[in-house]
Amino acid sequence: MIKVLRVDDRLLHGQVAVAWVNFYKADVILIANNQVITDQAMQTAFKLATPPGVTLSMKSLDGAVAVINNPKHASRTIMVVTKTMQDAEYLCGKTEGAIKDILLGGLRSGEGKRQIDMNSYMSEDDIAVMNRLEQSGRKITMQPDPTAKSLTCEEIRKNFNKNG
Amino acid sequence: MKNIILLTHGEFSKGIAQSCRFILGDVPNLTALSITLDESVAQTKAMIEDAWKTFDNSAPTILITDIPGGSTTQSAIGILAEHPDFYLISGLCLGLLLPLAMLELTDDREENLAAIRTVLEEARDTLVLVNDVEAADALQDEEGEL
Repeated sequence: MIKVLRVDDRLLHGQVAVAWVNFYKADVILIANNQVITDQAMQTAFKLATPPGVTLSMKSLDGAVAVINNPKHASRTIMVVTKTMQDAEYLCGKTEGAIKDILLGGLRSGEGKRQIDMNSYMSEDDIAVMNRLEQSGRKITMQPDPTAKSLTCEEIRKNFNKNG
Repeated sequence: MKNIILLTHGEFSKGIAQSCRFILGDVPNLTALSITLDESVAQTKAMIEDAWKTFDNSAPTILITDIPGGSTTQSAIGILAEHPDFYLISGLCLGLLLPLAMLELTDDREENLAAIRTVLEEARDTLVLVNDVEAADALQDEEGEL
């Protein structure tokens, strides 16, 4: 089952690999990213970041869709990680209701992005994606680590509008 | 519920406690102690004792020192006489501290010792010459396998 989808632009790093994997008791980390499948430095780094006892699976977006849709993995507790909101929406669009929980965090600043949380920034398009995913019935929150305050979509929109 | 006391030469303990919280967020009952050149073993023991008193004393306590062959560990060994129930570990690094901070301990000492041994075994594997690590095998992408 898909326990959660994390959107984090560093993909697998300390907070995700250690804190969130432990929090969700995930036994599979599925990295869904079109760059990772050809980038050996990323592959080495993620391999090193994977905690003992956890299976690391690195796939393109379509490769990840195939994993998520494969009923064979139903007994596994899978944490999916994408780099962007757009990639998250792509996965959700091709996997029916498999992804129910989306956890945002670690979204670095960039052109046209506004601050939402201490270390997270979103663009207008990111917000539009979030709204669509929310309307499709998915639960979306923003939280950097398991002990930090969790923001709801409502609070995310409020912070986005406030910092415009 | 458990207590963790870090004891190191100089400020390492405070830095690594900050790094630990950077990754895990709030870590309750974690305290960082430093020894300087001026402290005697007796003073260091008193410092550990004082730190421990600020905690919930019914919870298990893990005391972690930086290197086995140092006065940090000498002082810590001394305190085992009064606190034989402490779990004393030497060889502090972040790859060890993170899993210990997340470890759930019970009131069964044998069970706790076994759990800590497992964490130590896995922490040894976090010492890595990264140059020797090979990239993942050719990735099978489209088949729906992990």
